[in-house]
Amino acid sequence: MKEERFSSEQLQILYDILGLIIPSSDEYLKPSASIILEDSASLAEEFILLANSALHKIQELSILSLNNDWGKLENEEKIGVINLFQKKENRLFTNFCLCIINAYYTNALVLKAINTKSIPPFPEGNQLKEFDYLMLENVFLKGEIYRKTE
Amino acid sequence: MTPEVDVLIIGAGASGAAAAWNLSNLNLKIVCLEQGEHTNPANYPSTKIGWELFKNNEYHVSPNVRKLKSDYPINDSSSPISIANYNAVGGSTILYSGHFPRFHPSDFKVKSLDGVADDWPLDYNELEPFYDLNDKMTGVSGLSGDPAYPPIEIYQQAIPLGKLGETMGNGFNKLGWHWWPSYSAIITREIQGRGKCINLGPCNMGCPQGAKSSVDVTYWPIALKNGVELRTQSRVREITVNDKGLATGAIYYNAKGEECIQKAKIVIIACNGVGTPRLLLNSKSKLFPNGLANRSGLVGQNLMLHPLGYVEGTFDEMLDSNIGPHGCCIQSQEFYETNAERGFVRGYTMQILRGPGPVETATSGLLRKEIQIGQQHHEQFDSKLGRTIGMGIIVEDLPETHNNVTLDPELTDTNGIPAPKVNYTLSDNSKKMLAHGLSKGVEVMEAAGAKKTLKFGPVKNTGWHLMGTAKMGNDPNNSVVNKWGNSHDVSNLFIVDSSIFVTSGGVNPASTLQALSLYITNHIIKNRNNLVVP
Ligand SMILES: Cc1cc2nc3c(=O)[nH]c(=O)nc-3n(C[C@H](O)[C@H](O)[C@H](O)COP(=O)(O)OP(=O)(O)OC[C@H]3O[C@@H](n4cnc5c(N)ncnc54)[C@H](O)[C@@H]3O)c2cc1C
Ligand code: SF4
Repeated sequence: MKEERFSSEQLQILYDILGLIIPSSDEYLKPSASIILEDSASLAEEFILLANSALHKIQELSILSLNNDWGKLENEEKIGVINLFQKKENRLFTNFCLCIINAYYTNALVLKAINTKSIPPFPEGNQLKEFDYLMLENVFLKGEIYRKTE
Repeated sequence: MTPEVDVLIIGAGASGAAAAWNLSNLNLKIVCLEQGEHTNPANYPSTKIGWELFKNNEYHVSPNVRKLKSDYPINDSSSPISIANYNAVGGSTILYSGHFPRFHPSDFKVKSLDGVADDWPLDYNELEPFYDLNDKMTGVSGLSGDPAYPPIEIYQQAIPLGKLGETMGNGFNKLGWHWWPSYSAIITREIQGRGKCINLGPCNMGCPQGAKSSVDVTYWPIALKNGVELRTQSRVREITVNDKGLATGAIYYNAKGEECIQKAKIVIIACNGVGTPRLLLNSKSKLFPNGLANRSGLVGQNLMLHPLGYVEGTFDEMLDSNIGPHGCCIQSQEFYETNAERGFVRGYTMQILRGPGPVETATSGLLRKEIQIGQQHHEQFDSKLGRTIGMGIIVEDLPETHNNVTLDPELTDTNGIPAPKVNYTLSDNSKKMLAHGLSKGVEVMEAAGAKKTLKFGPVKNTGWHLMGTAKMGNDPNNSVVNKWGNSHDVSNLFIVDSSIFVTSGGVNPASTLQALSLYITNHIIKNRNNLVVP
């Protein structure tokens, strides 16, 4: 699907942008958001539409603000362009980020990296700590708190 | 036209299923018409890795967003609270959390005790055997000995509270406030071939285990085995009457959109607090020009929705709060009974909710600017997932005629049947109670060790408790049905859903509305030979 919707140049820019929006982290063992491009099935129609608009806007802002193509910018400059995008087109930016989050946090590798315990289809379920009934002792000893009606 | 049946039930949700099962023990010909279809647990979102995303479309709580074939639109633009339901075999229990507390004895005596609204024409003791029967049939877990209630026998061990429940329990203990493990319509021990709860979490999009006691896995399998005919994709347009003012059956549209007629000796409505008044108001005739069973003018009036307050606490320690049944953990009824010093009458339940899944954690964090994009994203996300605890404040709203369900003059469903319009505003009493609940919620979160809290209410998409729109009572001028759910105006017409509630109580309604359905159908069983039928 992604090949049909994005040119290879656009795809490269998209990898860059997603990697800056949610970068990979060694500390949290999480991949960057560009991982969502690897799994075309997870890309919702809405993502494709918003990504196209975002790409257009970002390329435009690179030229306008730095007089250069996105591909030729340094990393810091790219972050600057993304910040500018967020400032100038907040609604588009937020919707684009929400779409990225939807795809990212439903990606199997990401879910394995974070603390979701068992992941769908949940074959084994989860264990929860049983509680100590003694915790209720004082509640019980305080006596009835409902109003009698007879 | 199909042959006349003994009993026609309209609606296959919580109350309709209980009615069908209870009556199926007799040798009666029973048909249930349901506009939705059977759901297939194997297809529930919770079996899929992207389960959280379904909340935004096919499994959204609002029919106006879902727009499934089984849904009808509801104009709720004149209400700060949007209506939530589900239309299928199982009704709204397909999505419900299964939080299953009963009403308190005082809830039936609101006028005598607090001087507001009306007393119910029945009391807790009369309903108690049916609460018990319903618990047994449903499979309810919890813990006996709760000082907020008269003794209740519990058949299944409480759901494990997890670190989250323990943390909140400690918070309540610090303040010396009441709390108790939730009464949960979720089984912790296998019964009737249903799997026990394995603490997955996404109960609000259907439980693939069959552990959550939605009525498609409790009452319906037995009712069907006993011979009840359940006709799905059958949307009732109106209830028909003869010239003696008796109900004769219903006109409905089948899956192909064809108009069909089902004749019946007794008609039972179970379409919920919005669907039921809509159906009655749509059933106009020469004898009932203002809608069926509406000589009191109260059909659709007195809508109660339980405005919901939400409090959230974020904790430093990992609580694994995103796992376990979302809506069932512990509850507090410290502020349930009236205390005049608080500045309002009646009260509320605090229902502890487990934390959101990863998508919701990240999206709500982004929108609230608590989780950003860029390098800091992972640390901020990690400080949230599994470390937040939610709390619902279930506010008892009182019956008021300006809160109502009418027919929208323009909006219709796909069969061209006029759609309901909801008008609702919060009274001063509800507003004060909500504010009190939110501040007490923050207090207990802080006592439990929350480092950060937030609170807001009423929460928009939480109009899931639909009550009061065909109230019961002894006076035909001031109620729609009598204490047996029997219409004052139409002697062979019964209503068994929560539209017959006189007041709303401060608890989730499913346990009470199902107990009422069993109580009413028991009355029908005992008195069926004396009923005047066509
Ligand atoms: C997200 C969510 C969470 C909830 N959580 C809880 C909880 O934790 N505890 C609790 O006690 N309650 C909870 N509830 C509320 C509870 O589910 C309802 O109170 C209960 O299901 C109402 O039962 P009912 O029989 O009145 O209506 P429903 O269960 O809504 O069933 C009504 C049925 O009638 C059918 N119907 C309506 N009109 C027609 C027509 N014209 N022709 C044919 N069929 C028709 C509908 O399709 C539907 O299936 C929750 C609800 C939701 C949506
Ligand atoms: S937590 Fe339990 S009840 Fe809820 S969906 Fe999972 S198994 Fe079902």
